[in-house]
Amino acid sequence: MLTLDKLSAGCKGVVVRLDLPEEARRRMAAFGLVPGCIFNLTRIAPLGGPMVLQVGTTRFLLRRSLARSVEVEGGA
Amino acid sequence: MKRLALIGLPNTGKSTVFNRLTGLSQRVGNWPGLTVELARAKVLLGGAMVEIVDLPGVNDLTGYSDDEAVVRDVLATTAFDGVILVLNAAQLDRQLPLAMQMLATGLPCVLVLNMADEAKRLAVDLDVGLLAARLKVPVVLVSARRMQGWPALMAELNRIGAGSGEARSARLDALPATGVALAEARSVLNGCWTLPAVLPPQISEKIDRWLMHPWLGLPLFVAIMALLFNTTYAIGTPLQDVLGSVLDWTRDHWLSAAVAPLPPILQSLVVDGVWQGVSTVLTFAPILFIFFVLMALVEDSGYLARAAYLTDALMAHLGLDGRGFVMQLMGFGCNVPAIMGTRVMRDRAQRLLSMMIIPFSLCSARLQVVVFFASALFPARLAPWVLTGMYVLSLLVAIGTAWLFKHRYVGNEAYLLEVPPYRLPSIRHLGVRALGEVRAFLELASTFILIGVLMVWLLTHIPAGHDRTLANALGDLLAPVLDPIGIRHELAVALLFGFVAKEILLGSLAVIYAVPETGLSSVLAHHLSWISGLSFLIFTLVYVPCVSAVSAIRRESRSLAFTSLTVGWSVLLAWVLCFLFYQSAIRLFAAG
Repeated sequence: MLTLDKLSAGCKGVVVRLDLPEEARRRMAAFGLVPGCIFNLTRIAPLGGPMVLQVGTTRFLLRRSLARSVEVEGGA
Repeated sequence: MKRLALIGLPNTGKSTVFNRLTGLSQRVGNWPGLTVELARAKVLLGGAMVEIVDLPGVNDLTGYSDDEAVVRDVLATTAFDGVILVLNAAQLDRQLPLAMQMLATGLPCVLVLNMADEAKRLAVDLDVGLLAARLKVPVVLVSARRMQGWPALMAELNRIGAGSGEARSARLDALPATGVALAEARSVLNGCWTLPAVLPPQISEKIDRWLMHPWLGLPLFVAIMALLFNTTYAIGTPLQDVLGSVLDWTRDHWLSAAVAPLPPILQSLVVDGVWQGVSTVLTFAPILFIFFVLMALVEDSGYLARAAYLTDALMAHLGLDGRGFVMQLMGFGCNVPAIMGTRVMRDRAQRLLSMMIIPFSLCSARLQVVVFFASALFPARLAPWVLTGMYVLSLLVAIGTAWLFKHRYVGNEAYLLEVPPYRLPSIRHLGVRALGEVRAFLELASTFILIGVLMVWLLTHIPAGHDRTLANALGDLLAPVLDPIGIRHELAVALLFGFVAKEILLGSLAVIYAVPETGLSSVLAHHLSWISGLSFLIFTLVYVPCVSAVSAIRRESRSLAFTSLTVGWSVLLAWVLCFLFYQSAIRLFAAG
């Protein structure tokens, strides 16, 4: 199972599943991060810092601890 | 009077729309029945006065965050004539679900698609007419920053103002859940809103190659912050001096004469108590204004999100929001705007934790005291190290406090933050925002701060026995507490003054030792050993910064218990640190 935190900067992929409680899923959906969406992992901060994702025209940062719960496909 | 609610997602330019519609007529105040402050303004629309209420930015009407609950509560309990819903035209894929929920409330809605200029640059294909037909509400495409599309928006608002519909409260029982709203939005957008397969390259990405660079990003961040502070003080300090002289002149030439007929004790109450306190606070206003203009620039330009990206690794370890770092740095200038600035954080627990540690930032007022003591009590080659030590202590105390309390204030929200494209906010928008903040600060000053100033005046002026005041008596009473940390009793009075504002601490020391401020240096060197001087400095750094900061915490947290905890913790910590320092220092350097 591939999760978002395993990808490196510059990867594109599709979200398969969000292994998160209801409220966190709602919050992710507000940024367009829902199963089936195509994302672009733009950059990753050094020293365990957050990652920047782009979904559609929206760019946002999320912590790697949260990315661990995002199951993805692709990663090219 | 008719009433409209302004609703939208964060970062959609909702506040720019609000400022464009209302200008300086807006006021922030308590919303009846709820412990929340909202900005409101009355404007003339369609020949009638209409009140526009700016509600907090929300992503979803069914969520459980503080802001989402506030929006639901206000909509359910207040009758509105309509809703102005602001969305980012380039991000309808994730933002239109909020419109689907809004429509389900039954309130008449005007959909404002903002950021038309950005959508155009991103080559977004948008059919406004088709979208309006599908949603059955008026839709206008605008750029609030450039005032594009404004006549069409005003025409819609004037129609509501002139209309004869009955105001009603929102129906929240039929709100579609997030997933349902998302599916509805998708089918509405199908064929009338499309993104190009490949987005055209954006300038923001080029800038971010530098500003978010893995190892150049942080030095650039430090440089930008240094520039921000230096600009604040380069412009603000001369203004503060001018205002200070004007206020002093007013006191000497007008106030003293005006109160001359009163008995001396009342004269002193007015001049040394009320006037002294109020004018000290007033001189903050220019610095605060400049500061808030620059802070609004950092936030609205989109750089704040980059700063959060760069510092988040450290902040996450301390249980803090990435944006908190900027506020903490800001605190080194003045704690008050930094505390007010925590408003950018959505999560209440994270805000509280940030507000708890900001007062440990060594602000410019406390810096004065440190510099003065360091040069009075230490040789020139040691003084800079005392100063450096105080900065290090300031950071350590903040980090330690965050680490200790992080389990008490756990952020319960998935931490996601939009990284918007860089935007140049209009000067007018920055000015309106900064004026609002300064006004809020001065309103604070008129009540809470006045009470604090009066209390200290009473303590230092009510006689208690021969040649003594209540404050002296208090100093003696506190002897068992003060002796173990090496702080002389007469300095307890200075610490009391320091509670009002650290700016008047040195002045009060001069009064205590009955010397002019110019002679204070040698008197201090005569009366204090370096160990007890340093202990006094540690106490000054760690205990409550000033009554303005305390009232800002009270106002922003809306909790007396939290405010008391912050104050109590800082005093306790100050005492413990001084105790450890003083007791080990006198043992190590017994001769001192």
